[in-house]
Amino acid sequence: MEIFRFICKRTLWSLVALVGLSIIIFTLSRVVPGDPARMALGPRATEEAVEALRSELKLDQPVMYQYFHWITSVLKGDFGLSLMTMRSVTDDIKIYLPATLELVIVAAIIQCVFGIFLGVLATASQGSYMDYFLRIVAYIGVVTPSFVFAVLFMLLFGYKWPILPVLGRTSVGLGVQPITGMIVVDSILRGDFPVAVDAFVHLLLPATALAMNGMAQLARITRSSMIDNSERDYIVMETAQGLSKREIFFKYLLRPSVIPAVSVLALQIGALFANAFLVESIFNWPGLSRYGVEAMLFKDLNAVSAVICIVGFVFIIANIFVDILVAIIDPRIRLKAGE
Amino acid sequence: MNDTVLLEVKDLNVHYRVYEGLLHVLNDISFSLVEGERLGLVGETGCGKTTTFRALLRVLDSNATSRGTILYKGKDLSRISHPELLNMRRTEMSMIFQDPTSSLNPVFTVGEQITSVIKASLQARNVNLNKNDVKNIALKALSDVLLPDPERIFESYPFQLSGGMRQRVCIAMSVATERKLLLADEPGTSLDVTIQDQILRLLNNLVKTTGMSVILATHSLGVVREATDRVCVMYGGEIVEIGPTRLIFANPLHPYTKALLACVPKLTGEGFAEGIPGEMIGYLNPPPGCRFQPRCIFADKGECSQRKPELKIYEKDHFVACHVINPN
Amino acid sequence: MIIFMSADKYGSLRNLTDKAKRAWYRLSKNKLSIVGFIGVIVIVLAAIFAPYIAPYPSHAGKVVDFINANQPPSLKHLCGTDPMGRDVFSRIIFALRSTLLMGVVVLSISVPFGTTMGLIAGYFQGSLIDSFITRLTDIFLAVPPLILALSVAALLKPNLMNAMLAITITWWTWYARLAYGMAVTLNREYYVRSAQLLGASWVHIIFREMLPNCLSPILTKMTLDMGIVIMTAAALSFVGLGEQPPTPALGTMISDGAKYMPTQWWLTVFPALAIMIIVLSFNLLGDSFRDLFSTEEKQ
Repeated sequence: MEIFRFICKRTLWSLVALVGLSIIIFTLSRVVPGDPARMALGPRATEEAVEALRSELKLDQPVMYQYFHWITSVLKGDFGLSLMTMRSVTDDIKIYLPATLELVIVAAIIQCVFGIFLGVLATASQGSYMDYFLRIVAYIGVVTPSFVFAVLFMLLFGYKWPILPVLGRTSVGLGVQPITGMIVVDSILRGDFPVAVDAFVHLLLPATALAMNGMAQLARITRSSMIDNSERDYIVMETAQGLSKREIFFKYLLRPSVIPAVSVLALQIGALFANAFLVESIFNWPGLSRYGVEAMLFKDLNAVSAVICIVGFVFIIANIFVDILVAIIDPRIRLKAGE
Repeated sequence: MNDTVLLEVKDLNVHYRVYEGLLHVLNDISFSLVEGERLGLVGETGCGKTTTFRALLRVLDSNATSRGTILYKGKDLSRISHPELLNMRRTEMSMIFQDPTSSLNPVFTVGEQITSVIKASLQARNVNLNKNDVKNIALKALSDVLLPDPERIFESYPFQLSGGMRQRVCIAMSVATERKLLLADEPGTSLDVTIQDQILRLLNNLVKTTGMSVILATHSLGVVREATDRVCVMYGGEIVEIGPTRLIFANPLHPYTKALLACVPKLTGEGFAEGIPGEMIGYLNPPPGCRFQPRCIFADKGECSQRKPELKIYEKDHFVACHVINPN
Repeated sequence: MIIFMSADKYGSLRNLTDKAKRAWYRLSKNKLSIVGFIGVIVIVLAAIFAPYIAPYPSHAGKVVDFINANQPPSLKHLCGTDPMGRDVFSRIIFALRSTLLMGVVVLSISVPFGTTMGLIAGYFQGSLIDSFITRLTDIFLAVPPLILALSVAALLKPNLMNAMLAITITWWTWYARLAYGMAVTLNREYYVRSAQLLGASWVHIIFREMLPNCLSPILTKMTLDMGIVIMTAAALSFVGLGEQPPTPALGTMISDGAKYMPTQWWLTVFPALAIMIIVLSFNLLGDSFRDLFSTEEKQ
């Protein structure tokens, strides 16, 4: 099928681009001044210890050789040693990635469902106070950085009306033996529903703070594309043929109008990962992004490179997912992609 | 054809609000139609044919306002309730849109769209049919408009069809269930001549067998001559001449009609067609008098540019709106 | 407005003023555009004249005044004071400077660079230089822009310069993509072809024939992007990768203030509001430019 070939080709190029990016990041990280080994061991470490660490990390070798060494071990699933945690980066990622995935997936669902719903609601009530209200809310949502939402949510729901938990993934003492690492999924799999509920409730605030931006964007895109489309000839034709308002609105107008909203989803999932870097730190969420920020500030090069590779990889998967989703909704893409 | 009046339009005005002001598109349009009649609406692109149709079905754009009476079977369409309006669209009147590319929904199959239309129409008639029967009606309509392989067309998306096929799908959609009045907006424009001819014959047949009336908007005088009983000539959102087709062609009265007829290339091959100098009026500030006056070679400075000419009877059934032409 | 209208290279001066008048008329009909326009002007003026507007200009630096520390908002201190006793309002006014500087510098480097790259790639569509530039943009788009900017900023020394650099190298790619798409369409235009036939050099064609015709979408995107760059910059300074203390930056103020939540809420809320207002003003202005250009295309 054409669409399949199209997606494969795009994925392949994205992987090439990711390798290219890793070369740039790697080179950049090795040429900037500052000695990672010295930083890791602190100023009081002996010169010998630093030298030993340098040769262990192959920092005394040429950059080309270092990169080659690094990429071959990455392909074997080994991202090297983290200077921050002094553990294998791969192990760290196994712990932190599921927490971020869980957060981003819930945020993506919240933002899709509510974003499109609010857009439809605003269109349906076009010109009324509801519409104005929703448009103002959406505008505010678009112009507010998600870390501001996170801080404000902490202030409002953490202190003013403490109805939702604001810190961590579960209440103290609760937990579950990991399978996937996503606590909600794991506890459901193990049949431990109180933990699932507890973990889900902990997800709500950070996920919503993360989702606000994209939700507002989606609502705006959905509204404007629905209003644009509502004066198209095909809608006029369907009205003239006597189809009911409801059928036209929810079937013939909605489907072509959500296509632009769905198309921006790939970019939005990227933005979710990026903003998770800040939101996780605020909610003390032990995820990959918080780990990434800490690694960046610590100049933990292996960890930073690994985080970038993993995020890039997840980004590619998100792109494939969105491509498929668009192809399902839009037959023009599905049947014509190869042309 | 009997003499029962089906549709009567009186002083229909449509205005569009745009950035620059108000576009006075339709200006006091009046005409009527009896059952089983085929009326032609002729004029250049932009003269208000489509706007007239949209006003009849009450599907004008949101920036448009309309004024005037539209009596359909004695009922004023601008006053009926929403359910009545739906019923009217589902059982009485339907419209074939001009641009088949933009008037089919791009993300639904032809089948889904045509069955929706058929279902709505059946529902208004209180007929309950199962899925298969509805599909059969759709397939029959598709084959009626001479589409090859209706089954395949039924499953196709609009973008997979050629322009001519899309046009026929649009027509099929409008005639799939019985209607009393068909508004055909340039139904042949994107078809080649042989298929256009077949489509016109099909419309003719429908009129004969079902007693349906047709209003046919077109800029092709050939089509008008072949497929209509009566003609309204429109210019700049006004009707300038109405009369039986035969009379209009034999004895065109309005300078615009004359010029229009002179534009048709002659089969005798004597030189080029004349064309009409000047361009279509702007609707933002239309001339106060006769709208054709700026392009008219007969216009005088006085009356023509000051007072709008009324439609006056010239001979039996033949009306013209012009200050220069004097009735017998 | 005149600058925007000069995209029409064949217009005479009178034509231009006429167009500018029409554009201004349409802009002024939309109340939100006016709000955006005024907002942007006020913000820019406030940044330029910060030392004259801020009630306590010295508080933008290293001042300690423990007697007045942690005051809630009052007439004396409109947005309260921080734990060092500095006036938050004054610090916000001064923070506008680095915020706007950030947006202006990032866009004034990345837009010309990205546009040129995109136009060159689009003009030589299918050649080696096209695939090189296209793949290069792919590399920079392989991860979300904020993450790339964060990593680059983190690898370099944390300061305003490097934050600008980090955002710039992620930003040009969007303009390269936009210009590329337009160049590919413009390639087929007759005036480009006839220029080729007349033997015009590619430099002439790209900058004199193509560029004037891409200006309005690029300028619209720039106005809308100003807000996004500012948000990205705030995110960077939120994690400490921007302007370094004691110079005030909005992101840093929010993250510092968050430590004193919820009692000293003013430390967080006012800088956050400032970001929202700045981004909102630029977005409103950008939206109205977009509406303006799109209605012009329609007519």
